[in-house]
Amino acid sequence: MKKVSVVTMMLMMTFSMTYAAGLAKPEFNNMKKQISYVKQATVHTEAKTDADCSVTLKGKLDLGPIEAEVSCTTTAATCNEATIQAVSCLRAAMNTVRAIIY
Amino acid sequence: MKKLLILGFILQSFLSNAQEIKGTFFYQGKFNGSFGRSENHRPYWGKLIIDGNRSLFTMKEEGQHHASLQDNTIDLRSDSLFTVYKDHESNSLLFEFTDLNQRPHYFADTLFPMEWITTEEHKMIGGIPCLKAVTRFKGRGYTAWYAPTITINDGPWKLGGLPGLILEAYDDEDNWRMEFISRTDEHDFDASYYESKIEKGIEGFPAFAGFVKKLFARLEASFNNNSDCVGCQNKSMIKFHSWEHID
Repeated sequence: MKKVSVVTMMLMMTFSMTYAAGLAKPEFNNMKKQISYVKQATVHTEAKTDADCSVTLKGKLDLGPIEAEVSCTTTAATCNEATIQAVSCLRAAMNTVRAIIY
Repeated sequence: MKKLLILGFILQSFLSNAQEIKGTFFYQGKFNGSFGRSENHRPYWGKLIIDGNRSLFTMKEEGQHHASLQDNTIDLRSDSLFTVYKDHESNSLLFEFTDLNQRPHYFADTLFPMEWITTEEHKMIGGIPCLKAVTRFKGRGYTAWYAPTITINDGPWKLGGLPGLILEAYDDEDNWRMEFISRTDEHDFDASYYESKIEKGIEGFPAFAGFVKKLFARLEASFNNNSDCVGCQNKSMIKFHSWEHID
């Protein structure tokens, strides 16, 4: 336990002598580069998956005190594609409701 | 002071008790069509025609309303959002429900089953002294301000059963609201139309619940057979929402 405390103290002293005292600065530029790299890697990995964008569109059948809520959730590789598919899905769903009514 | 005021109300009510109430009470308010899920408030007029022991309440949207067909909304709301006929003498209440084909159906419900908690809170509505009461009814909390000087235990929609006419009522989430604005002496409405429905025998609230469930089941079944979304990454769902709680 004592050994651990001594090591911790020594590390803290070393830190304060170098960074806190202004003798040396941490390499923030390098850190920024690292973060940027991680972000790009994540986006790249996500883009490789089949479905990474999910879009939900809702329609409704309004009877006043009673309502039926129709929703269409579509997942696709791009959000644009997902939106197009969701619009198509909702249109089909609403047509199903209309077919029952009329 | 409060006790004196309440005593005054009761005394006034007692003195005017012999009079039979007749007239039309106009209300102004709103209804949130998405009740609680999102904001879809529309302004409404309420009209409560009282002819002694019988009354008819209707609630119509302000301006002109036509059932319309929009892109993502099929609007099949009837002319009156709530139509409620009450007959205090036979202790009956009848309400209207319009189906998908906009055909009206009538169902019976218990007349004033709600248990009110009355308070000493008071305020003036249109120059009429009112007292506050709260209740829970069909899954929602309601507040009512009633006038003990108007000695009829009626109110907007299905609400009533208080020692005075309800002049203001709203639910806890403020999705529905009716506020008294004026009164006229006219009290004519076709009570015989509703009386004939009652005489023929109409089913109660459980039948209404069954009717709505059946209607929704029909919609749901057709959705399950909807092949447009099979084999693709689409998922269509249908959810039902009812203003009054249906088991």
